[in-house]
Amino acid sequence: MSLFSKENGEIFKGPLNLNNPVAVQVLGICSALAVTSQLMPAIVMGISVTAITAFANVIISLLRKTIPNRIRIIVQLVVVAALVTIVSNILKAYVYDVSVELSVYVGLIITNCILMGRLEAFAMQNSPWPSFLDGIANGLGYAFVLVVVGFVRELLGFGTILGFQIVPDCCYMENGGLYINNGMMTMPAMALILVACFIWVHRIVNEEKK
Amino acid sequence: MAKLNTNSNAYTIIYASVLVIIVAFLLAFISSALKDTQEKNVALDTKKQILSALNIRDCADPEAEWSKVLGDQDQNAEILTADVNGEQKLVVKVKGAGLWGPIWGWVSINKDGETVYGTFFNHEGETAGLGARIKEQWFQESFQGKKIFADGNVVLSVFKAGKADPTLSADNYVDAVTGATLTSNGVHDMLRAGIAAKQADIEAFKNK
Repeated sequence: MSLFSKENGEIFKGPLNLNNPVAVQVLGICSALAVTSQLMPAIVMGISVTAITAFANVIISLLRKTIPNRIRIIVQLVVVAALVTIVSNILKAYVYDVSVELSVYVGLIITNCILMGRLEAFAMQNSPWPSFLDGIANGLGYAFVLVVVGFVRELLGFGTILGFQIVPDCCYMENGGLYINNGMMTMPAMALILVACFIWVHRIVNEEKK
Repeated sequence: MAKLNTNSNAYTIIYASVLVIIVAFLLAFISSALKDTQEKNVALDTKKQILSALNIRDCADPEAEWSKVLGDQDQNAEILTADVNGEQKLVVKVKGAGLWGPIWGWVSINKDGETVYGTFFNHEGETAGLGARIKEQWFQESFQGKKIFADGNVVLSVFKAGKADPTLSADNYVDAVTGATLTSNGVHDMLRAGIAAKQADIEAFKNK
């Protein structure tokens, strides 16, 4: 089986759209609410989850024939926890401000249902390369939703994108304009509503395809 | 080679032990390799917070600003003296309890020993959008120019709007963060206790 065969292509494309972990399987919602008030933490969180899912999938896939069946969940957890600790240390060393912003949510990647779901459902049965693709694709599927929600929340809640002012200063109420930032967007509740809107649009689009 | 019985007890125990030992070594190695960089980040972040208490916010080069204003003082000290454009300021560290976890901050005081020059507060896990707003600039700036003492006692306060102690003048308190009464009370207690504990140092600074 070649590296980019049709089967592997399907493995990669599924989680990005028709089988998106957030929009279709509704996994990983909790962190999607917590870290998306601005775009930057959403991107870093998306990259972190993608990297961890991919490497955890590869490691578990390599070990899959040796793992004692009775403690397989524990082994999966140890691998995930080790990877999360490594990522958390790297973030603290190289992007300290973002790691403060993400605070406990990096550590909580351990409990992200997407990870355990992919390890148990995919990596335990498949060889390393497809597992790697599956991990990357699921991570990116998750990251995509986070980025969309983070983009909307930062734009409407703060008038900025990645910290750059998008809404012109002169439009604001205090400078004589008519615009004020929507404070609701900075609250976690709005993330839930935005994720729901995302799922809604996603279902409409995919309904037409059938 | 005979196929291993991966379900036997011995295999399971050995497998788990080996796995855990490998992971432990790996994590210990990474943690010690990155420790220096992380500590530098924490130190720099503390310096930025103290500079914010001196109303020097979002400066491009905090290290340079720090050595200009605070010289080579240790950022972990409880009391710091600063020189902001020729004016002497005293920076007092305060620690307290918020609603969910610790809160801390710095209060900078003018040479008269009673007027607040600037403040900075931080928290570990206060509610986002409510208690966490003590970290925002507008709240911290509302302390500027407030008087700390009355009759030798610390009276600097945080009161719910309209619920201020009538014996205090408007110079002595700021309005609490709406919807975050318990965190605001935490800031109130932290300021009262933290500044009172350093009253002798403030007195000494004033008379220097």
